[in-house]
Amino acid sequence: MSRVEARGVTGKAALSWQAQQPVFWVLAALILICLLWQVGALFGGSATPTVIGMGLLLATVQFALLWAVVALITRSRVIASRDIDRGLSIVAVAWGMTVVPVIAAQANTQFFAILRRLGLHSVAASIAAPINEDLLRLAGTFGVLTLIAACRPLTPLDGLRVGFLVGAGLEVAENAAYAFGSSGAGEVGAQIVNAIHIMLVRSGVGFGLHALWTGIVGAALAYCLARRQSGLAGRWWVLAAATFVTMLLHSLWDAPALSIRPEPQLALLGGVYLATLALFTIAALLAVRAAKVVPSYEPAQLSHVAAQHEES
Amino acid sequence: MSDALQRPRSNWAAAAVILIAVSSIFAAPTLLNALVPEPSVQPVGFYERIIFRGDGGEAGATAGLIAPVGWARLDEASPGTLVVSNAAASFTVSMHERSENAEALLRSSLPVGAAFLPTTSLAIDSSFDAKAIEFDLAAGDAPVLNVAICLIDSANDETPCLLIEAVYGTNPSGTADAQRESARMALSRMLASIEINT
Repeated sequence: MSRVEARGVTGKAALSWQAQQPVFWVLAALILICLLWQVGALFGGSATPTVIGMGLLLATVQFALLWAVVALITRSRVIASRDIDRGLSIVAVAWGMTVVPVIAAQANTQFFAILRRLGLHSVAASIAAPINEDLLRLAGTFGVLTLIAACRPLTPLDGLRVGFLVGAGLEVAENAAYAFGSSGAGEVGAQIVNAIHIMLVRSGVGFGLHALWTGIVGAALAYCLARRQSGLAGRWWVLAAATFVTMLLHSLWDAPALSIRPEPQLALLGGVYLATLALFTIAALLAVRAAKVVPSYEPAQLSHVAAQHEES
Repeated sequence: MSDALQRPRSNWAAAAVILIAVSSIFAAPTLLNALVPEPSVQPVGFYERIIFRGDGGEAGATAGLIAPVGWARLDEASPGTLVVSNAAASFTVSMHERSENAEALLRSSLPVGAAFLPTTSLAIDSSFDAKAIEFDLAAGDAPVLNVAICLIDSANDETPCLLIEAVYGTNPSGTADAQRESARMALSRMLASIEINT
């Protein structure tokens, strides 16, 4: 694929600065509000500077790993993706890092109180978290895809990548929050070891799950939006099915333990992780196939439109 | 075609969808929370597993069971013990980390008046030594069922056990038979869910 083709019908990559789009301002405002809230909560909390520093360092390492995964996926020869403006990638990550954890934390707290009163406290996490977190991630993915769609035709691979980044943002923020919360009393060395331990456990058990789930749903959403963009029926059932299945996997992941012995629980978690990986692989392969049959991807057509754009 | 693509329309609908979604997720649970009343007593939750730990903490013996859903939980004042109750019965469960066997634990829990009653073996799980004894020392048809369940551990003289004391309410008229039967079923399910780990 040539550079012109990769940059879409307008001849330029999707731009993050789209002041004419209301979605741009909605995303920007929510990210800013939630970022300020997070910063206030972080420095007003009990975490010591050492733990904050260590948590941020570990979060950066984890984020670099997730970014490497997404780069590997979208830049590989097999499933070469079209360009997404780096700014839009950052918006996707920022949504996952700020809006999703802040809003979900508030909603989950209220939800947990309701479920406790209804006698469902043992399954509260497996009900509240998939609903709140998954829908918030989907909202952010939709916002970024809307901005891309304003510049060029969407592909399911855009959704896969944007969704993955939104989920990666949440995952890093969640793990960092656990590390910050591990502060407590004790010597600096013990605090650092505690923070590292929590980050390793959180990262090691189910690495990239939020990112993978959102990548699957993002691909489905972009597929539906791309069809609408091309004047075809949306096939929204694809999005509904992907959302339901990933919510179910999230619910199983957060479900109460099956036994006091660790083996059944590890088997369940392993099964959920393998199912997630399998679904993500299928979503990626289908996204590649779908991208090949979208009419606006014909190289000749793209070159023609890009040339028109350059003339104008 | 290219003109439309090069000058994209402002997508107000997408912005509205995102705002509505985020606002709903933020506000709806708060509103619902105000509508759902606080129960007077905290009920046992659906599939709520109660974990008992021995003196060794994480490294010591552990036992677990699924408590009967919907029953009132009354053990706030007695840590390490589970006390649940409904209209027909109340169950008290405690862990005994070092007992000789189920028979010995059961005998140690009995009042003097029931000390010489025979015990019955229960077939719960092949890895458990389980015994039960039922007695009714007071007038008025209010039987008590004590069950001791111990891990079979041939390597040690002492083994971790759970002791369950089920006290059924008085039932002089026989009108609450269904409730009592339901309580017995709840006890059976609770016993079937017991796990003990060393």
